[in-house]
Amino acid sequence: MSDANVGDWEKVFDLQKWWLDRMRTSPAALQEKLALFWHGHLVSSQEKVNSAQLMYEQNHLFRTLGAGSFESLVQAVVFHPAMLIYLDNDPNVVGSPNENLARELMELFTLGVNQYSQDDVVAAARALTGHNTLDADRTQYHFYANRHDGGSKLFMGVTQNWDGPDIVHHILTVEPHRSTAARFIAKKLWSFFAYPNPDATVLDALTTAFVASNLDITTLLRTIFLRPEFYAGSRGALVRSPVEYVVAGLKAYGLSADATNPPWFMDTMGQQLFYPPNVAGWKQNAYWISTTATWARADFARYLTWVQHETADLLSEIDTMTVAGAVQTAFDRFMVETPSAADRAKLESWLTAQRATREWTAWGHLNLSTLMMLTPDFQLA
Amino acid sequence: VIDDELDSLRRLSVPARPLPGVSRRRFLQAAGAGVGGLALAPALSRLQAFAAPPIGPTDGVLVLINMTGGNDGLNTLCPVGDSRYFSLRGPLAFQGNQVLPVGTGFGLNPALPKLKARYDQGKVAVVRGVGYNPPDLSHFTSMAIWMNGWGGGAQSVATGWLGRWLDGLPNAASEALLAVTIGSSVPLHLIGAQARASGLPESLGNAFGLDRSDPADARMFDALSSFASSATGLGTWGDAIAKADRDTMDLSQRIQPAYQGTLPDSDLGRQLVLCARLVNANLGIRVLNTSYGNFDNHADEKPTHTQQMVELDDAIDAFSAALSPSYRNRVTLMTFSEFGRRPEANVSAGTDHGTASCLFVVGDRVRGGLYGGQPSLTDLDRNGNLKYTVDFRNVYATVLEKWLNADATQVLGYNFPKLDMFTGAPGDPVAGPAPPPSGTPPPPAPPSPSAYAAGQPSPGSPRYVSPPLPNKDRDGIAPAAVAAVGAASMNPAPVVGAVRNPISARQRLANAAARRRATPASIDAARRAKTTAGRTKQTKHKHAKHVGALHRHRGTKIAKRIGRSR
Repeated sequence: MSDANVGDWEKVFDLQKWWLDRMRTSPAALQEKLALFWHGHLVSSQEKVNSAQLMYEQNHLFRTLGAGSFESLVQAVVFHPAMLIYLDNDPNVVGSPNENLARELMELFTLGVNQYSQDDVVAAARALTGHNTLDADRTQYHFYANRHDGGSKLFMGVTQNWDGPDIVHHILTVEPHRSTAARFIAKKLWSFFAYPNPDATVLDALTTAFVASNLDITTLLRTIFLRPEFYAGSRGALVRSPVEYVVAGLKAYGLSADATNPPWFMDTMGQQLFYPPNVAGWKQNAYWISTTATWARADFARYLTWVQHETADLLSEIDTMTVAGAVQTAFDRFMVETPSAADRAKLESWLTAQRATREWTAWGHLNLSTLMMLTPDFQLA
Repeated sequence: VIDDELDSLRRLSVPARPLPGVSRRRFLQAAGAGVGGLALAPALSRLQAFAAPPIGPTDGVLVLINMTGGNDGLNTLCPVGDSRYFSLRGPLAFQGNQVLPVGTGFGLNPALPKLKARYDQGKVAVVRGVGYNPPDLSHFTSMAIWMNGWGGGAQSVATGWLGRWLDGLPNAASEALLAVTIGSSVPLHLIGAQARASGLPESLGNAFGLDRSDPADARMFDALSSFASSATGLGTWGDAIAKADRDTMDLSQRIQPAYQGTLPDSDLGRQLVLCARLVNANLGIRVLNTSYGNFDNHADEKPTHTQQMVELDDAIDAFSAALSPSYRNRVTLMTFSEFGRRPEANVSAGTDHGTASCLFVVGDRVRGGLYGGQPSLTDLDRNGNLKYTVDFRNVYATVLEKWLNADATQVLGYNFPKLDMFTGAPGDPVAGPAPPPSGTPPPPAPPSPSAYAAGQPSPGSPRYVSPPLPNKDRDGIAPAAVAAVGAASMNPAPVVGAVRNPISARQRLANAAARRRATPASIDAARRAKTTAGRTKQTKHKHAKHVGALHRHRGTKIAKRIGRSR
């Protein structure tokens, strides 16, 4: 096959499995979780970027800059070739500005919708002209001065010769834009780690701390993790995303992504690493719950059960335990700390009925493993 | 601080319907009447309990194609009679001798020959200049406005236009199969206060829940369903997951027949043929939603858009072929997109976000022809975009009243003018071959802006107003009637690009490659280039029992090899 894309597809497939395994095994789990958050916020997709190398580089930026200065992160990601290609700034040149990056930079990456005018979008697009990739090598960033619009532009009420990085700097350092961005990011990060729609008290506190630190992400995270609401309100508040679901399943089974190819199932679950569905990234909770996605989760659970059956045969010891002991052992293995009493009772009732048959004994522990991954308990974060 | 970015996103989807309210209680009551039957065949009992009324002889069925990302109306119905089209579009324009002529000065994209043939048979309405005022250039906000479809002015609602229609049907809350969407999440337009569409996957394979021949499997499937038989104690999300578990087991029995046999390779083709079979199965489904894209062609538009038009043309044709003749006069298909593209091409050989666009309404009872006025290419708005001529809710009102037998004013909150777009009601016999449409359009839509004169609620209220949401309880799905609204409030959706269930990475890349290969000059080549990758998807759903696990690994490698040798 002469199409070079297939090679890149294979690389990205390997990259997906590599990242899943890194999430599964890294001692710095928060670093990986943050990288996942930024991947869904400062979005680029391999579907358009079409370069495993660039997607990896962007992922590296999320991992290394994801807990530092928000402005540094945005500046680095926005002017990286993956983003320039994804949001069409690659061909954004003086005389005919392309508005895609300019709009999403404000609408989705920093300020939120309606915090700017269409004129601001046009001005920002002009400021971003010339920030392209190298003609001879699209994996390299290059600033073409002769393609840059050096004229004066009116952006956010200020007329000057704006350049692309000035735009980012302005909205992340000058009030009221900085506070708008701080609140926008704080709300989204809180929603990702704790629960959606924090009330104003929480949001005010997060915004204040984030602004006071000049948008230092570690400060924001610390503020989030020290809020009492983070502990009081988080239980059952988040549905595991497919990435979280797969990583938790692999952990419980002691299997690697490399050996089990989860991306084949994750498409239908609704989340494929390096392929966000659109520039707004992935959403939460209800977004992940559907009959379609349940089929994929169930097929994956059954698949993992059979893969591990051929190797370690997880949980085979429970076939000789009491029903109650067997179900508790399974909850422990799948790291469900405080299971629902109702779900426990239903599993016990099922296992009792299963054991009453003359069927193959191993159905007990095999189907219990599969069912465990499909309990509401395990599917919640 | 206005947080409507997230608010508008939240409106776009909720989980596929947490199952039919034919409540557990009712089911158990029914089951209690025949205990033996329940014990022997629980799944069958459930099937009967949930059975939908079949499609009546005069019921209209609506199939939607959501062209996500903003479809370029000017290169779908090309105004080749207007010299401004060529000066604005440059190399992006199609020439007069390339397009497929439909009326004086207009031609369909050259990649739509089958649709053109259908147009010549008088079965395609092309509505021009469809939009609203004031236009919003955000994909997400604009899509939310389209899906919401409310014209009641200041008093806004959080439901979708078809969801509100579904709410009015007798069994809205209890029936999971009044409306379906192909993909992982349910878009806003299919969410009402009570009713909510079910999500169905593009393929089932040997999906979990399907094969009940092994008693241990059947027992496991029933155990999975049982999590929803009482509150989990884990809160609203835990309960929603339990319901999705149960729904999945129930639906797997009901929809299985539609998945028998091969489906087309193309993404939209698969979805539409599946829809045709679901109609044929007579499960009582009245609305079926598909989506494909991404039409956000900011750069290098022509080859990509051409490929997308090829896919549309083939898919509508495949749909018609798959639809049983006995339903043809009861099924209408309609396209929509959140906006069109800017008339002037950008330097990247693409187009930026626009406003008004055209849409297609296709079916045996459709009165073919051109509707609505073509927006001027000289009188543009301050962003260089088209001024719309037909409010999109005029089209909705027409479909609701003349096809779905609904009170459109009630559903849309305003008495929108209707187009004379149908030759009869659903189920009416088609009287001979329809006359070919003349070049002159049938009665154009009343000019919308003037229709909403002072004193009337402006359908295009200044901004999309976020209504107060009844359920502020941390995203929870409320148990009762407000459930849908509450869930919608918290649940953003994928809209642009891939509203549908994401296709495989492989297929996406293959599609992208095929698009790159497609040039306007080689539409046939583009047709041929359509990926075969879809076939490899099937391997994903193979049952992984015993040795199946090993087959899976092998299947992966085979899929890669197919890609290589293509």
